[in-house]
Amino acid sequence: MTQSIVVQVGQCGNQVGCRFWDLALREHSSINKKGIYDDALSSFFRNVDTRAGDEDCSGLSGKKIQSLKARAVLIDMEEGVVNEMLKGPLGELFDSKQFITDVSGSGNNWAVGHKVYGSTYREQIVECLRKAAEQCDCLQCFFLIHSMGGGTGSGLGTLVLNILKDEFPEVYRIVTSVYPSAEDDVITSPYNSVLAMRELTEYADCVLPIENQALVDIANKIKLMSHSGKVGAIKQETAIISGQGGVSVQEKPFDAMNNIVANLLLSLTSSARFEGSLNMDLNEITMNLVPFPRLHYLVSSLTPLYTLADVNIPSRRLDQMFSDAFSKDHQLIHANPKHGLYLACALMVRGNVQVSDLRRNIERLKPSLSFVSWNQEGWKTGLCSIPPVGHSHSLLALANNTCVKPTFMELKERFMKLYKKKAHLHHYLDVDGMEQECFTEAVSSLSSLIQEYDQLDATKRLIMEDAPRLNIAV
Amino acid sequence: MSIVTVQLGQCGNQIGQELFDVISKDCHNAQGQSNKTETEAYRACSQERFFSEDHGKDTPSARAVLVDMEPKVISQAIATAAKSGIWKYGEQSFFCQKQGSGNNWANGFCVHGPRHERDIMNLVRRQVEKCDRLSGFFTMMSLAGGTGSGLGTYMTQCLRDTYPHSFILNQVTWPYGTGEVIVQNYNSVLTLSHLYQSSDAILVHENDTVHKICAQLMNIKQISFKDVNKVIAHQLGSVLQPVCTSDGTAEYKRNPLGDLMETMVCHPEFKLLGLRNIPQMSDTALAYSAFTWPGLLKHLRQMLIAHAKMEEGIDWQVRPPLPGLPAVEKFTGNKESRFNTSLSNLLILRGKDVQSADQGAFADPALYTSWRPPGSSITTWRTPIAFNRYEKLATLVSNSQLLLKPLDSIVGRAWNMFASRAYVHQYIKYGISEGDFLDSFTALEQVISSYSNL
Amino acid sequence: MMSRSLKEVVLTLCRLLSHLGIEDVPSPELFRRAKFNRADATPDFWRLLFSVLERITASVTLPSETELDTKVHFVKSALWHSGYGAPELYQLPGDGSEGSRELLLALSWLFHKIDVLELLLLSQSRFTAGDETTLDEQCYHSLAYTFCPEENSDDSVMTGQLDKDIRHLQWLQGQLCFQWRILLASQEEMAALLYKIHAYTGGCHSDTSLSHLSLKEIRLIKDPEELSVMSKQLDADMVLLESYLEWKQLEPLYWQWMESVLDARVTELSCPENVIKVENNDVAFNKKNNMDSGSLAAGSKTGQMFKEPGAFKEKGASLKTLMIKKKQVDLHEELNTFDPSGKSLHKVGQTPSLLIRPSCQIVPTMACRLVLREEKKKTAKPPPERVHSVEVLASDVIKDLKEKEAILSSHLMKLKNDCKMNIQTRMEKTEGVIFLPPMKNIDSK
Repeated sequence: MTQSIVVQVGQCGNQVGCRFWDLALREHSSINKKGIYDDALSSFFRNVDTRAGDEDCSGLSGKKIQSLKARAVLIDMEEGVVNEMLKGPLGELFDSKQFITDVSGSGNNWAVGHKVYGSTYREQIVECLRKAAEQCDCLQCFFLIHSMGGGTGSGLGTLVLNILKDEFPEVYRIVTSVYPSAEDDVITSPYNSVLAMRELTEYADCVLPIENQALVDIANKIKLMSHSGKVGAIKQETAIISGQGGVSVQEKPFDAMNNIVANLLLSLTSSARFEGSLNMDLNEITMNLVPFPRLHYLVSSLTPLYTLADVNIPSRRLDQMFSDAFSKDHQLIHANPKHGLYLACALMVRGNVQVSDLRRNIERLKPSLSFVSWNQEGWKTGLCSIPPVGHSHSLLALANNTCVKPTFMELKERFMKLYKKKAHLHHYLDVDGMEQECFTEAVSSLSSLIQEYDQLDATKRLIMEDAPRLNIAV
Repeated sequence: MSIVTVQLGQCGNQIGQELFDVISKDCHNAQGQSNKTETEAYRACSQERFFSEDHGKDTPSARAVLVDMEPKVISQAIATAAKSGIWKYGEQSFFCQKQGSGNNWANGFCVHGPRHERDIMNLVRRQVEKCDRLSGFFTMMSLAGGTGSGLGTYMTQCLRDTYPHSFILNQVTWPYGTGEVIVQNYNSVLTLSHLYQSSDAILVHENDTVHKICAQLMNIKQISFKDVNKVIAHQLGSVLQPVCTSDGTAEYKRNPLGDLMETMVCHPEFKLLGLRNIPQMSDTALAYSAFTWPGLLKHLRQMLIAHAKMEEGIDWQVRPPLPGLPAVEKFTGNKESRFNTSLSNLLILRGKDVQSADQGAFADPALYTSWRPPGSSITTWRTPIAFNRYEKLATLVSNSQLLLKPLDSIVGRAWNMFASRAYVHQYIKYGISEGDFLDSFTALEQVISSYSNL
Repeated sequence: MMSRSLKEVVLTLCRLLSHLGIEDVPSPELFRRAKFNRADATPDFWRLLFSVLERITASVTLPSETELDTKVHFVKSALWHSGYGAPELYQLPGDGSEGSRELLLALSWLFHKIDVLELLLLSQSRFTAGDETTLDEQCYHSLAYTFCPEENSDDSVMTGQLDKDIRHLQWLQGQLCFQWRILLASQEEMAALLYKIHAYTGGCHSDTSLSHLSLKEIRLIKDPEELSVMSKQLDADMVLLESYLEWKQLEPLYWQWMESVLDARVTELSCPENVIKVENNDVAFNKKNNMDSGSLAAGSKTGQMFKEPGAFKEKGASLKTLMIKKKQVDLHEELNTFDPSGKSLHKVGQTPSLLIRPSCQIVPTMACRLVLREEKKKTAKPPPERVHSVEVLASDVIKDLKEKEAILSSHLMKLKNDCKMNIQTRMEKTEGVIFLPPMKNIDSK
């Protein structure tokens, strides 16, 4: 069994991370009733005997759970969020060696996060990551969680990505990036995002872009459902915005949205952690979904958003789950995959779903989706037998689809608006090691990315002829 | 003689476990049948072929080596076998690592293969040493994944190098046309082209076909991989269980793999074997059905010539072409009439009144390519022992154009993808060059051309 | 009137022949009649020759109720192939009506030249108690010949509808390979089982040089019925060998008589109108003198045609060696005198290494008894020789065979490469076509 390490950077990254650990514990405790430290637990947690001087007994699968420690590295240049987490019920999951904090923050400046803190904390970050890696018996993946808008998340977060690539070239880097909404209150967020984008394009194996606004919309939709008409029709704890059943009792403002991201990560790793009739390991994600190294932005959607209290679910509900996953309201960014061109698509199913259900739904949905000419059958599927807490089944759809392009174009537009006026530019250029070229290179990287998507989009309505085959002279 | 089975990857390990299960149960069922000496000979032959008896322990262990790059599937297979109580896997017969091959053929072939060759071959050698008489190796793997296909191909080469004169039969599971692994066409092309170098015969199961069988013949509403694997295991069992190779003798065939190869795959360009069997139905339906040999064989023959994958929906219009047509016309004519030209066929008949069954309908020279001498292309093996509760069961192993279309489509899709160089970087990362891809494409185009020109 | 002793000689011969399983053995009286070329003895002699020749030709089998003229035809061609040169025989009428003396002479020639009686004796399966294997050099010798490269690149081979046949031939070749592997597997199985018997029965045998029991001996111990079968077989063997011994003692008398037969023939032929024939006859059939050199070429043919006794094989082998040496000399001469170009150098470079070998191999071609030896005994003094005069260690034989295999496979490689080059050059002449050799395994990292 492999292990993964979560690296959470910045305020947003740590808040999402906090929700992730809470829900991960909830999930494992609902499956693992006997309190035995098993392989599935070992992928995100260590088992430590605190009485025996923090002796690590993770190597001994099948032993009783002593004290679980998260395989995580927490980085923030402010103390607030991290301290709060430590004081909370999740505090004992971490020890002080897993943190890197500062007090002054990055001032919403990518350059400060990337260059200033980057050089100050580089050694410490490497040390921290190494330590975490040494505690793994077979490290497969780093999950980086950060936001694109702020200074620490985007600046230092992408620096961490750099470090990971240098120090652990064999280990996969899957990045969950929270993109700012158009009405973001951080004025420099377009700068930060575009500068970070270049790093993501170059150094990540795969990026799951998430838009704040999309999360808000989903959360509102669920709240609306549960407050409308038949109250109690929704099993509250099953909604993907719910943290019910976790250790944190008090709900904080962003928890609903962050729970969605936490659920995304749990579903993404479910097939690697639990058994199933068609396993889908983490390394299969990039292998199947990334045809060209730079085009590794995957649009994700989670369904169902909740289950109804009524247990007699008609089978139509199962097919609905598949349909929803392709509807525009369920995507975690504002995008409509049906309007874009699919390069590849993965369906990660959990729970009581069989291969015939998968096949039926793929056949049903295929006509409404357009796939690139050379990958008309570009579907990857995984079947994990353990469903999420409270559900009988669930689906995570990952799409490498040109529909991410509008998000990037919009970002570029907002960037250009500021950049043409040279607004706030000096805050960046004042930072040591920050040159004008960083901006031009970042924007040209983004432009060429958009262009690559454009070229693929252009083939969408064309009838492409098959490539001429080799002929055998008889 | 004994067969050492090598189960590779998730698919290979799941099917392998089902296969040993079917064989064990079949041997137990056989006991209830009439002629005691005959069933005893059948049982003994099957036991020697697939299981070894440890001293003093009553449950036989399978002559199998389980290989996967991640532990979940193997531990499940071992546990399921142990739970059956009638057979088990040997204590030290498995090899697994922590991290899978990630659907990447190159990772399995270029990295995991060389890295673990010694350990795996040691396990194989241990199984070989347990055999008094070794017939050869039977490997099970999928074409789509990374471990089964990549490592499986590498291990097949190792087997060929270490046991140059042994028989190697590769069972490959052909992926669904859609929706398993996106790079399945690349993986399949690389696997098949390499297996053509080192394997003696490649026995193919198409997931799409088996899935249809589950839906239409077995009447399963919600089909799981277990259902699919059970059908594959049943079909494999019906080929691999003991059967008498020639008429009149009660002796079970001596070298099961050798006899199969010698009748079916003598030409190095024609190594693809397809399977058809009849009847195939759910247990409940089976209890209320009765069959006659002429009826079964009539259907089976039409399934063969009309490219039908199962007994439902056979096109009865398809007829053998008129004799004397030149090959080229026959070939183009074939495409329209969908007539399937054979190279060689093996009919395996099991069950009641088996001696009365007549293979005559399969002996028609019009069924075969012109360069095979008439009469030499059909072989029939029989046993009066019923298999897996089927009172009568006919299995057809066919070296024919049955797999031409699926092969052509896999190569075509992979070639399209290759033309835009999509995903190629993932393979280059592990040491497979574009030239290697081209070699594989060429090799398979040659196979396609050979089968097309029958 | 035949003298009494002569009648005995011929009777012994007839008995031996029928013990050897020859059908249609004529009565001794017919031999006498044949001396005087009596027509009434002729059909019986054709039949006799037919059954003898049929037995020793490896591949041909004709039903015994075959018409006489067919038999005559068969006998004539079989004799021709074995190098019999007297034209009179071939001039005899096809209906088998006359010429009994010629037939008697031909039969005797077979006894003398081809050692027919010994051949038949060896072909009778006799009882053996040990586990045997044969060490046969012959297949290798004949291979050496066919492998001499022939400059035969007829263009017509490449064209026409032959490709269909080629697929059929490829199929048959593949089938042969598989059958060979099946055979190998069963040989391995047998060897393993035999080893078990030998190892298990170590020390059981009264003969200390053997120490262990053979499969046959085990079966005899286990099954008394086998014992009675064996004793019957031994009796039969004994009778056969006795009659052969008897014949050997009386044989000189037979040849004396044969000289009188020849004399009778010469007298008959000395009539003036037959002179030329006689001369021809002398050249062709002057007993014992000219034949050795004259039938040199025929020797190789006989080698392929007959199942040979050991002595004859050796003769054949030495002949071959001679020819090989001659060939080498020729090649060297060719090299030295005419053509020092690459082609010849090439030829000389590859052939001698392959062809010299037979001359330095002294491996018995007879069946050998398999005896399991403990490793440590290998250095000990060989046990007193009894039935088996030569001891051959399996490891030596294996080593020897491995060497030969290496030579042959390198030769095969070369031939394959030549073919590849050949195809390559042909392909270069075709436009739009690339020639890709079969895929090789990717070298893994």
